[in-house]
Amino acid sequence: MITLTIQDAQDIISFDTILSSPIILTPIINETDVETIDGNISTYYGSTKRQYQFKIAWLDATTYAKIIGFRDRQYANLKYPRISITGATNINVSDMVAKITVSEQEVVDKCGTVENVVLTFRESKQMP
Amino acid sequence: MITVPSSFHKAAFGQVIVPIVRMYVSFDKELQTSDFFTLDKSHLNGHDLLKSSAIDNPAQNWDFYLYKDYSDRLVNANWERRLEFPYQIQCGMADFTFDNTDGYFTPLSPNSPIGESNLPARPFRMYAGFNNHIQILPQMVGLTTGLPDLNNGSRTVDYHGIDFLYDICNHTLRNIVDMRDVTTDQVIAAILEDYGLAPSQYQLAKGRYTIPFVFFDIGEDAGDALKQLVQSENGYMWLDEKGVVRFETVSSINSDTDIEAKLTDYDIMSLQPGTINDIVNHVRITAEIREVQEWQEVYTKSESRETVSDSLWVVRPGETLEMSCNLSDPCYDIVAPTQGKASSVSWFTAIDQSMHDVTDGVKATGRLTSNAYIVTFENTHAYAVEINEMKLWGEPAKVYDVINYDAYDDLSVEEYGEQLLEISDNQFFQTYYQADMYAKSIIAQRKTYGRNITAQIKGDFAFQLMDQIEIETSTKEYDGIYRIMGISYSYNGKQLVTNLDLGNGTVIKDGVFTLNVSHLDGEDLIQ
Repeated sequence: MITLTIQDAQDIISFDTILSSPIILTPIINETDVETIDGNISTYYGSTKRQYQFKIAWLDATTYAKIIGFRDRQYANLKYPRISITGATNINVSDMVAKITVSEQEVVDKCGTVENVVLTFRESKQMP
Repeated sequence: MITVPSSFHKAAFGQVIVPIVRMYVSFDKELQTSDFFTLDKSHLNGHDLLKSSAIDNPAQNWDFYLYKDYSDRLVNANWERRLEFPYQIQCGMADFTFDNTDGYFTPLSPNSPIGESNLPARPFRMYAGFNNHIQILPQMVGLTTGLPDLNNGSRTVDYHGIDFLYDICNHTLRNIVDMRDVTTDQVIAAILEDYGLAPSQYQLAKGRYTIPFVFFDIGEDAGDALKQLVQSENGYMWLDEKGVVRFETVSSINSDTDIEAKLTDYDIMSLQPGTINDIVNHVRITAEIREVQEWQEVYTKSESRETVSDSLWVVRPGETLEMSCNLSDPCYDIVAPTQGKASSVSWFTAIDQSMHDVTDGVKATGRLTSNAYIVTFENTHAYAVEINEMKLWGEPAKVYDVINYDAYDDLSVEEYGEQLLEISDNQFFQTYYQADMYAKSIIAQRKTYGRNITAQIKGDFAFQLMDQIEIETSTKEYDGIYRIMGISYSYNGKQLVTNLDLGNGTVIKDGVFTLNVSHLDGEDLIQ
């Protein structure tokens, strides 16, 4: 079982069972290649950050609202939430500060169930 | 070149390069220590500060401020140091952008811990190095200008900064600088001290030339004065990375054999020649040579013959009258006039309304400017008096010769047309030799196209202005020896862009004896 936990100063939520879809890990490498006059290259490297993307088939309205709460509070409180991912081999994320982005809201029934939710967490640092 | 281990250069010119830039600002201008120098307690050259009324002077205290590290908030930084032609004084500027997501840098914001201190003229220090190297090198010390520009869209904030030398050049003199028979460095020191620098904050090489007469008035532009002085020496002035103002004459510039670095194909991204405007093949210098004369009469107010006129110098009872006496030549000194005729000194006479002589009760004080003597009369009588006659004695600096120097390179003029550098506003060229040394250097450096190039290279933070580097590429197009006349860096967290303005390395030192270069009993002069 893969567990995703999101928390900030006001709330915490864990997903234990719904993460059956793939987790996409995208390394964000801050680098620039420059070409010297002999045609070779050098690389200016700044840092590597991680980005995790979860594609969730559906979420109930309450859970979705909680996630939206994390997204909105990062703007209101000027602080990103923290996430942890456990249970997946080779993925070791513990209390990582990350900006959360939520895809568009596809409501599919009267109960407010949302389909095809894409959650993106981009690693960053926390402001003091 | 700042002295660093070879591993530092290796980090700069390697395959994978990890530059780091550190940014420190003292927004509140808090001092590192509250201890002031106390006799019998503090140590000479210790950390205690000499207490003075100028304690808030950021220039004098730049070493003593508590700087806070804002490197984690740095989004990008651009900085450059450049020797401005034709004066050869460094101009250093920096732009840096901070992350302002939380409003930390927003002026007047309740979220900003530095709100009330977020003002212009905040001291900053910039350092740079490479992640895999322990050494981090100072790049600039200076002051922010204006208030920050807020970029609400990107939630960032931009600061613009200038180095302290730029600020020194922007200041106007607060005191008269009146000197005679002094070397260039002595005049520069007087200007720096007028700005508020302590002698420990500058290192000036002894000037090669003696200036017979110097007079700068209150309010005159310090930058103009410094530019003229440095140009006349064919010297260089800059603020080094540690914040010390440096002046070097041509004598102390490295000889042509000292190559600080060699740049080859794998160090260079691009090479661009300068423009036709960089060429100088004709130099014309016009300057008046003045010399301070013996004490003599320098101003006369003839006896007034009118009884009623606006031009009468009337001092009302108990009041003062200030008159400006225009001088035909600037003066090194003038003695304030005293009441009653006298010989070989300044004097004035006064009369009352009945045309009777007034022999006492009127005092005069004076202040010298570059072209006038401002005299203030104070009348202690209960009746008005007229200053009817006055003579001022002083030491005028008269023109005794005029330099009309002209030099050009025939071949270059034929090839590129006349590219003239005309200097007529620099009165510190006092000899033909001086003008000749300057003009020959400029023409040698700039007479042909391609002698000045811009090179985009892998950046090495150890480079300094006037470093001599060699370009050696497979195309051989711009191969040669150059001096660094300007360095600019642009860093955004994932790339460092470094541009060098490179000038031809020729420095004319004819006549200057240089150790290990000149020959004993040769033609060079020992200074």
